[in-house]
Formats: sequence, structure tokens, C-alpha cells
Amino acid sequence: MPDQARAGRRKSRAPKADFDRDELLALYEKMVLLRRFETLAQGACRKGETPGFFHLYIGEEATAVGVCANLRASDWITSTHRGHGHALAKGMDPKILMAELYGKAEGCCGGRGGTMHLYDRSVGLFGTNGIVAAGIGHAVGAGISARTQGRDDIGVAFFGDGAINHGGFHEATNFAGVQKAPVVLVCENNLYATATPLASATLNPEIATKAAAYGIPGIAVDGNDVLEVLTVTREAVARARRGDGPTLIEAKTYRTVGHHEGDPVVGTYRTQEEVDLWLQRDPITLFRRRLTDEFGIDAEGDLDPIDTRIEAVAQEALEFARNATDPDPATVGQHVYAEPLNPADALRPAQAGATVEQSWLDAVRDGLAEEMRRDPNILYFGEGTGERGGTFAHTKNLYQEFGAARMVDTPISEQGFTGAALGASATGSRTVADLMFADFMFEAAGQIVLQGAKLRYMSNGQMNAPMVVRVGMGAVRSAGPHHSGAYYPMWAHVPGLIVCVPSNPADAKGLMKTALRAGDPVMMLEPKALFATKGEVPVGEHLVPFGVARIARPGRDLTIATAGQLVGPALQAATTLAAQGIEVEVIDLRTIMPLDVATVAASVGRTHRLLVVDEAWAMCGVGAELAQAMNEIAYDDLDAPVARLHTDAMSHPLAPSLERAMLVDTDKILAAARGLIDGKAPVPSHWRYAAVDGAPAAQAAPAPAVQAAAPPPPAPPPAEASASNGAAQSVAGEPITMPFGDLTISEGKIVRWAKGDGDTVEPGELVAEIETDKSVVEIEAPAAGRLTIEQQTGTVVPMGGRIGVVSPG
Amino acid sequence: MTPKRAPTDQPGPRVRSTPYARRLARERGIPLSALAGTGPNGRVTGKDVTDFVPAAATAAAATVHAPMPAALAASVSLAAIRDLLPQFDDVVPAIELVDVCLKATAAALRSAPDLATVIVLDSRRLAGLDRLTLGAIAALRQESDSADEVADGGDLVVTWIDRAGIRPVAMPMPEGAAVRLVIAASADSDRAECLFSYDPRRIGDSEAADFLLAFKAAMEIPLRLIA
Repeated sequence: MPDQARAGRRKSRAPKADFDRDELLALYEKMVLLRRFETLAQGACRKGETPGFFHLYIGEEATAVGVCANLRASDWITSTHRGHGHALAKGMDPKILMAELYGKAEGCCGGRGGTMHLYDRSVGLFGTNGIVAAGIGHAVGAGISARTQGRDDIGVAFFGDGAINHGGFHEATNFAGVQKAPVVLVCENNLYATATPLASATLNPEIATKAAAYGIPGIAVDGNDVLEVLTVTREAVARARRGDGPTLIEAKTYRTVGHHEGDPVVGTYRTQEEVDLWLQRDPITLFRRRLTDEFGIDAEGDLDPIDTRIEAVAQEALEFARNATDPDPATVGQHVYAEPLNPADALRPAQAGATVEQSWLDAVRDGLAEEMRRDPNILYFGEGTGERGGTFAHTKNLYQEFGAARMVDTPISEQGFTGAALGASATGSRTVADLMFADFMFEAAGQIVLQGAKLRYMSNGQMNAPMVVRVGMGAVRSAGPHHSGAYYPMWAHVPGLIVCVPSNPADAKGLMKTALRAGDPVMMLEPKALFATKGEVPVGEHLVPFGVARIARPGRDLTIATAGQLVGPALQAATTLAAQGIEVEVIDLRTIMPLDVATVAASVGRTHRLLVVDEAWAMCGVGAELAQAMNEIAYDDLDAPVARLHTDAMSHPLAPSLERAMLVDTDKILAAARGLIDGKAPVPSHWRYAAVDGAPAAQAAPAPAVQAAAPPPPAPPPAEASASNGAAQSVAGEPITMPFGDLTISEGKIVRWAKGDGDTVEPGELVAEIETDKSVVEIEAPAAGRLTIEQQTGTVVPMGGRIGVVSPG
Repeated sequence: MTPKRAPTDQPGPRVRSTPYARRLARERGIPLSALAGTGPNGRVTGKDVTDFVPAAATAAAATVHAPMPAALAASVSLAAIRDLLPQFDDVVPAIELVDVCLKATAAALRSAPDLATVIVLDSRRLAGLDRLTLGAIAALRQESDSADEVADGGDLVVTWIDRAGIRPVAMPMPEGAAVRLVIAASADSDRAECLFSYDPRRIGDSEAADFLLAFKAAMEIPLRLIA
């Protein structure tokens, strides 16, 4: 361990001639400020004057000061849990910093953030951070954001040696490299992640060498030598501003205090001898000596007056904080969401006008393109969403219009690029983070929940993260355990997030456009089972506000509240029940957060019965939430218990028979609705609690009486194809069918027959071409024989549908 | 502090009921215990309340309870009467405003004989008022006996509210009566506020309106009463 201390003793790489006297004195003053501030904060903490706990920067001052001396206010830095030094080095007023540590209204975040959550937009501090490695992606995004806006400002990420084994570091660094992001990555290697020695956490403790893994320069510097840090960072900053990409700097340094205030200085993980060795290399002592010995600066005449002045500044900050006011408890609810939550454009009354029939994906693509034309700083990050046009063809043609710099193809590193999307969104380049499947959102969950959702609140409304996290969501045709989930109640649980689950192309487009003008992070979960559906979409500007449910069908006997792909089955059930004299009102919630409980309650006021039908799981879910909301605001209107019908509580199985059993379908809705008319709610079993009175052991809802032989396609097969199937099947032989392919494609158009009716074909020979939303599929002859064409060129054929037959002989 | 009991929250075995049913029962003044629950576990539902018909009511309601009366209101100027009354200062017993009202009522009834034949004031049936002078009416009214006579279907019940500045808007029909005239006025008020209630099953709206207008005309041009 002392090796690093000794290594730092070699001659500084920083030549004397590079610095003028004023610059040197300014560096000294800043380092003294960091030290004196932290020492006073330490005393305040020990006296119990400050809430929470501190991680002090004592011993590492040269790194923050040396790096930040190269930066502008318009450059953004992200920092760590040990971030007071970074805040001061970047220029934060010590008074508002100390007041924040005291949890005061005058603090930089009004007392909402505190030591590990300091933000100051005016000096470019994008947060200290309580989560290891979480800020690195933000700096990458801030750099890309500046570049997008035509500025040569950069992002600088500070992080500790504890971060370098964390995915947040690897993903963000790799993404920065591949994007040539204008970023400097500064690892403050103080040898211990809390109490874990670096050498026991990695077999390669030379952190700078890890840059090679990402194809970017890495350089180690003596982090206790401010001039060396300054010099090395100067080159890295210039490189970033030039557009040559990121640099990893490893600053070897040491904290001469415990991990946090109250933690012993030596602890169980290091020796007093080691601490003493580093104390001899105290960065301020070293620099003071160099200033007097090498640069001819007068200790008494030049440096002592600085010490005196800074002492006064630090004391003034302490007094300011002590005399500052506690935040008004009445303000506790402020800065959770934008106020108002909806952008003004979304609240304009919709003009009844012309509509055009569009597919889901086309409608949303149009919405994205319209917004990207309107706001030239919007970016789109996703896996294969650039040149390839997206896994679901959901970004087709956007790359062609907006180019690689805006339609950014990312590595599969959800945490990294979601962090970058957040960083860009918070700094003027609103970004869509396309995570492909709702299941994959958990790979970025820390960024969504701990960073994006809280940013506005932690920063006291100074900052916000108006990013859009876009995913294909929900079950479709045996997509299996890792590609079928909905999960949105988890996101709706988190204050600060908006959660959209549209059910039709018009709403999907309108909500996406609203999301791209709103002020908060939006989780846009599009049911991929609906990607192949079509619907009427208003021509021209069309925004759908958050938190406004839609009555999809009026009725008087029973209300069904639902969303996403279950709106369709709910409407089907309503049609069936209407024939039996039961009029069901179907409410499409459209957004799960905000949740339009008022529309549901008003409906319950008319029907007195509520059935919640929801694709996500039941536990702590939408059914539970709406049921309790009705208890609270519509109690006297309930003429039956609120019932709920959710996807059964288990992983999505592959086998169609199992998947059908666990998913909600029209039959289950009908059974639940009929039961509710009789005053009975189905009792689910997801509590895993055996003693519920009257609960059946495991079965939540009666199984459908008759199970179809094949899973129903998401959309009914087009009439022209199915109508002729009966006749076609009279010809014996090996059928030629439209192959099952992508999850989200339900049909294709025959663009060409390569063979004629009656031609003889060989197995594997090309006979036809079918075009889907995503590609052209070549159809091969399944056997040798004579071809009979059953569907003509131009016909739209459902997946699995028969287009011809090959007869033997 | 003892919490207030809701009207339907009566002691005894708990009645299972939905919140909506409880609300409906509360609004209609029906005790939950009177309801037969058809929901699960005998739960009283909203439909049980809306379908509820009180057992006694089916036969007796029509005779025991009068239906909700219809009512017409009129505001009558007292200017002419206030000019007239001082001229009868020497009459004993003194003629009061209420006597003029009784006379005007009787005069108006003359043109609507189907409405009522006897006027009832303070539970006293006063017949033939249209043929009496104001002085005679005053004397009759102030006779000391106060027989507690029950109105019948042919009576018009007059209620005198000796207050200015009040406008009666809803007054129930006294048991047995078919029509009621409520007059709120005092000796020094400028106007009398009148409410004429009637059983709409027996008396047409236009018939009632004609009566009230005749009464108003008589009051506002009182010389006709002594013609």
C-alpha cells in the first residue's frame, strides 16, 4: 500500500514554466478552502449540528482543484458521495454548501439534497451522488448534450476506485469511448472502497490501464500533486473539447480521515504507519513547500494572508449555515413533478378533424419524427434503433432522416446509456432511451429510480430529467420469461416518474409527443402485441395529456378499468355482456401514473361496480391501487367489492398452454364481470397465504371452458385471406404458409409469386416473397410437386396463413 | 363524547349491506333492518333498497298519507287595504288585516265553488263568509270559543302568519284538507306573501291559478269586497 505513496514522490511531470504566479496562488487558495471547509464541517458533524453523515474530502484536495482549474462554469461535473471538495472546486459558494449540509432552506438544494446530493446548475455541478458509479453516465450524457447543441463544453466524471468494478463505470466508459464523447473520466484512487482494499477487489489495480479495454487513453497521475493533476487534465480537457473523445485519468491519492465522519481514521483495514506516510505527502503541505521552494513565493507575505482570508470565508459559511432557516414543512410536496405536470400543448382541447388509419409503429414513428424536427436537440439512444431501424422496425427511417449523431446505436449496456440519456436530458438534449423490452428496464433501474425520478426533488427544482424510457411491453405469443413482462406498477410506485401504457396508435403517438415536451422522466411502455394493430390517428398535431383516462365504451351496470393490450379483450367482453343485458363501461386508463382516479370514481358513481383488468401482476398493483382509491373517494357508491383480474403471479412460461392459463383473456373477464354483477369478486391467490376464507387453493379465475388449439393471433386475420381458406384446403398436399417470425408481426403481403400456378417445384426452391413491416420474407417450396397458388399477389396473409399447396406428382 | 348514530345505524344484529345500499337507505329513511338482502351472504344491495316497498304502505298509503301537494305562490300588494282600514276605525270589534284576507278568500271561492265550501282558520270552520260584512267576520273570528274541528275534503285551510318579510315556500297539507292558503303579512307590511297548496289529483293547476289570481285581485282592490 505504501507503494503508491512512494510512487508519488518522483519528480512532478508538471514543468515550472507552465504556471504563472496568480494561477498558482489561486490553486493554493482553493485547496486551503477545501481543507478548512471540511475541517469545520467535521467539527459541526461531531457536535451533532448537522443531520445525516459526511464523507470528507480531507487529503484529496489536489485532485478536485487540479481538475476543476481547467473547467468552465458551463462544463458539467458529476461527483461522488465524497463530493464537498468537487462542489467547492467547481465554484459553489461555501455558504450555500454549508447551509445544505445543515439541511437549511438557504442551502444549494434547499435542504432537500444534502451532502451526497448537491446540485448547482449555476456552476455546473451535476450532483454529488450517493450511488457508486451512477454519475459517470450523467457526465457522458452532458458532454454529448453540449456537442449536440454545438458547444465545446464537456462533462467530467469524478468517481472512486470503488466504482471501477461496477457496471456503471464499464458501461458508461465504453459508451463514452464508442461515442467519442467529450468527457474526462477522473478516478480518485484512494486505495479503499470504504474498507475494501483495491488490491483485493481486482487483480489489475492499475486503474489507468483499464482504459485500454475501451480503446481510450488512460493515464495515472499523482493525485496529491495539484500541478500534475492540472497538467494532465489540461490535455484531457483539450482533447475532449477538440472532439477526440474521452480520457481516463487515475489520480492516486489518499483520504487521511475515516471513510465517513465517525469512522476511525485507521480502522481495521489500514495501518497508522500507512496513514502517517500519506500525511507526510499531504497535498497542501507539499504544494506550499513547492510554492516557496521552486516558485519563489513568500510564505509569510503571500500564503499566510490567503490562509487568514480563507479561514474567515469558511467561518462565515459556518455562521451562515447556523443562522439559516429550516425549510418550511408546508413545502415538502414541492418539486416532485413539474408544476403543472402536463406541458401546455397537451392540454389544448383536441380538434375534431380528419384522421388517417395508421399502424401503431408508423403512428409513433411519425410522432417521434415530428418532435425531432421541432426540437433539433432531441436524441434517441437504443440497441439497434439506428441504422437497423429497431428490433420491431419501430425506428425505421428515422436514422435516414436524423443521422447517426441523433439516432444513436448503443452497445447493450442499458445502465450506461440510460445514465447518459439522463445526463443529456437534464442538460438540454432530451433523449429517448430505448431499452427494447420492459424486462430490460431493470438493467437500468438504478438510473431510473435513484437518479432520474429523484433529480428534480434532490436538486430543489433546479434540475430535471425529461427523458423518455421506451420499451415494448407485455406478453405476446410465447415470448417467454425474459421478454413478456409488464412491471409498470413498480415504476408507478416511484415518485417522480410518469408511466404510460397506451392501447391504440393514436394514444401511443399522442403520449409520445407529450412525453417529448414534458418535464419529467416518462416510462413509455408500449404493448408489443399491439405493434401490428392499426387505428385511426388524428392528422396533424396530436398530443394526449398524462393522467386523463378515456371512456372507451359507456355503460351503466359495471365499470371495467384497464389499459394497454387488455382494452381490446375488455371491449369484447363488454359486447358479449351487452347482448345479455349487462352494459359495461370500459375505461382505458392510458397512464398509470398519474392515475385518473376521478374518471373511475365518476364511473363507479354511475355503475356502482368496478372490475380492474390489468396485465401486470396483482401484488401491490393497479387493482389494489384503484380498489383503495374507490374506498377513499367513492365508498358510498360501491354496491359490490372492487374486483381485480391480473396476469397470474408467476414468470411467463414458454408453453402456449401454460401461458394461456396465466394471462388475462376475454373469457376470464366475462367470468369476473358476471361474478361481480352478483356481488362476488374473484379471490386471487398471489398472497401465498393459505388461510384466506373462501379462497380457492390456487385458481384465481375459472379456466376457459374450451381452449383453442393455437394461440389467438393478436389481430383477427384479414377477411380476404381467411375467407378462401376453406376452399383452398380441399387441395391435398404440403401447404405453403406465411411463416411465423417476429413476435410483433402478425401479417404480411404477398409481393410476388416466383413460380406460376401449376409449375413443378423442388423442395427449398423460392416460390414467393412476402413483405412484412420489417422485411421481405422468402417463401420456399416445402416439398417436390406441383404448385397450386391459393392467394394472389397483393393479398395480405396472417402469420401461419396458407397461401398455396404443393401436391405430389 | 358519544358518536352520533346514523338514522339507519340501529342497535341489534348487524345487517350486511353494501356502502351504496347504506347510502340509498339513509337518503330514503329506510332502516336497513327492514330490507331483505339478496346479495352474497344475505348482503343488502342497492337494488334491494330501490326495489323496497313498505308493507303497510301498499294498502294504506293512499288514504293515510296525502300525496305531495302542488303549490303556487303570489305576492300581494297591501297598499289599498292599508288605505282602507283606517276608515273603519270606529267598528267594534276592530277589523284587522286577517279579516280582509278571509273575506277576499271567500270572495275568490265564489268563482271557484268546486275548490272548497268552508274556510278553516285556527281549527275553526267558518262557513258563509262571503255573505258577511268585514265587521261580522271580525266578530265571528274573535268569538272566544276555539272548537278543535277537523277539516274535511271540502275545506280550505287558511294559515295566518303574522310576520312581515317572510315568503312561505312549502307547507304540508293538513290532514283531510284539499287546499291550503298560507298568508304571511303584518299590519304594517307593504305586501302579503301567499302560498296556495292543493292536491294535484283533485284540483287542476289552472283552476288553482285562477283562484289565487282572484284572491290577489280582491286584496289589491278591496273596495270590491264591500260592494
